[in-house]
Amino acid sequence: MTAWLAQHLSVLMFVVLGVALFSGLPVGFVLGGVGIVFGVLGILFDQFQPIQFFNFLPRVWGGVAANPVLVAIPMFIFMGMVLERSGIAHELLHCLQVLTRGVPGGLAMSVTLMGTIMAATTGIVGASVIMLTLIALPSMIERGYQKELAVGTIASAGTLGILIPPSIMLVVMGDLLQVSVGALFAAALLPGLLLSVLYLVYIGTISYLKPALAPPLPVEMGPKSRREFWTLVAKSFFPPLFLIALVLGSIYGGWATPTEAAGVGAAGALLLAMVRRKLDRTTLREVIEQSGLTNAMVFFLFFGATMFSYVFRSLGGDDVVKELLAAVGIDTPWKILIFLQILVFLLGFFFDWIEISLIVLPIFAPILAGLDFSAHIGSGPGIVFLTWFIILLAVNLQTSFLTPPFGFTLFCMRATVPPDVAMAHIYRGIVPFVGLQLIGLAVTIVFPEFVLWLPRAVGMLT
Amino acid sequence: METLLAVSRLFNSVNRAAASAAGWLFLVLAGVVVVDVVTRKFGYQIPQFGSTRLQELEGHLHAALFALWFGFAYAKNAHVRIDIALGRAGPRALAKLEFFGCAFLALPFTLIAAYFAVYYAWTSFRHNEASVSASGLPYLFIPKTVLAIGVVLLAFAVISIMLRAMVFLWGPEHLREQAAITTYRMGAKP
Repeated sequence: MTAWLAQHLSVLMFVVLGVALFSGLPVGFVLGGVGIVFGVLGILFDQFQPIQFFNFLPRVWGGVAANPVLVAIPMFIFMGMVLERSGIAHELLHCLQVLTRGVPGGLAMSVTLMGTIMAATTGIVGASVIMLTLIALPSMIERGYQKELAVGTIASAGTLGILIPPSIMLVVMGDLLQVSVGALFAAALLPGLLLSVLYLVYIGTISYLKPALAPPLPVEMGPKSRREFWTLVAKSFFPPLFLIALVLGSIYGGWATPTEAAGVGAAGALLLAMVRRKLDRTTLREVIEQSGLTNAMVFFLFFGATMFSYVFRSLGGDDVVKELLAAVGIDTPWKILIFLQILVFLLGFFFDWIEISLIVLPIFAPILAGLDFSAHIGSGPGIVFLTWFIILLAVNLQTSFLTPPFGFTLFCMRATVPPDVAMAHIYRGIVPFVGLQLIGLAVTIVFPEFVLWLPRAVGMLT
Repeated sequence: METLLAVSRLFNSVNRAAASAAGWLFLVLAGVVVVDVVTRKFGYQIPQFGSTRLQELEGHLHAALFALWFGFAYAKNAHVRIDIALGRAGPRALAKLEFFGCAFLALPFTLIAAYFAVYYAWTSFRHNEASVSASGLPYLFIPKTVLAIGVVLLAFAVISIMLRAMVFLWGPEHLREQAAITTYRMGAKP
């Protein structure tokens, strides 16, 4: 009994983690605390040495603190928070509404288009969803949009922020699996645009078939003269295009690493906000507080997860995972891939991308490194497969933002929707969009070129 | 009991002060990155502050930026929680969960982490550790000390919440109101 327990401490550790997470204690504490408890148990069962705890801090230092890749995260968070206050999104949405006023479902389409464009300037989700809910939802409901359609459109468009590059999610996953962030950014672009196009086609079709769901805006809306019209377009498109050029341009123009591009983008966003006089001292303080809290939240998860995965691995967790998968018949690369996608989709109902990435990826990383999909993706095990895999995961994780009871986007919306929109509207509204995300996932699984073509074309992947 | 609350408030204000001072590093970090990118593009090296040093400095600023916010983020309840199982729990049940969760998971973790973080910084200081890169920064004990301070402040924040929970759960009636803690999910997330 004792011997069996000693061999299976890592399994027990995982089960205890699963239960303890639902205690409602901050996830970082649960991860770190379970790590400590099982480290001590491991000492008692002679599976772990007390001196191994000394390795924790060097791991935090080397893997989290002095890690040049992760420096991108505070900068992208800060950039996103500054942008939220800059009023850029507001003007862009107004302009897009003018442009799409004649089209069936135009108002909803303008939201999706704006989500897509803003996604290419910022690497985080929260800010864009709250912003869209505050400025777009009231106008859609006022025009008589079906509430479900309005809510689903906003939730799905806001969530694109973390898929379309730049994205802090890709930074985290690239760091965990040792894949170049530049290659991941390039690889995520087409799948991100694919989702955006799927949303637009869906909105267009449903609004054409049932015009009552999405009444168009009056055609006389917007500027009267041609000159005014073009000024509006130029004024509202310039700031986001400037930022996209700054961030993505500096990466692919060879000026900066993705990390540095984040810093340059943050400086650019500050500059724009200052030029537009949207940034006084009080606003800046608020932006810093929001960014600091969000950043601490992300890295506290890294902090706890470092302890957890170190102890888990020391207790032989990697081998146990392999044996368990083989024991239940998940032994071919395709079975493992499909199993992981289903697992992540299901976990997405309860957890967010960051907990899923930090807990699941380190556990499966050794297995993933050996998977051979050369017949399907044209390259052996390693970087190319991992790039494709991360993008599949990233598309899959889009659903985790929308699936109840614990979708982050839903959580943001719940706090900001007008009182006549009920949770039931939100839940019903997101169903078709989760379906579209799963279609996008299927396309990226079946056609890996969709992911891999662009990074190969820009020379970031062989 | 008043003393417990006073200690709790003291720990909180220390955390708040550390976080608001460190917050300006967002601007400093962005500035350092821009300087590094631009000078490197034009092939110019600032004397004593070449690209390697600037990049190491970015890492150190980043470490200070998250570590010094750990504790304050807990005090502001910004850390992620999986709270779906607690939908109907009342304030007393939540406070008990927080207290015992801290006692068995958070406190052991933060205390052990704080011990090793201080030890790690101390070792770095004793060996006068410098960057492994010849053109890198000296005095690595400085950022490592900041990291250690962050972890110690996190332990303070945990103790602060535990003290408040104790007063709220078992203290005299008239103090309970001001000792109430909020453990529902709030704050921003990416």
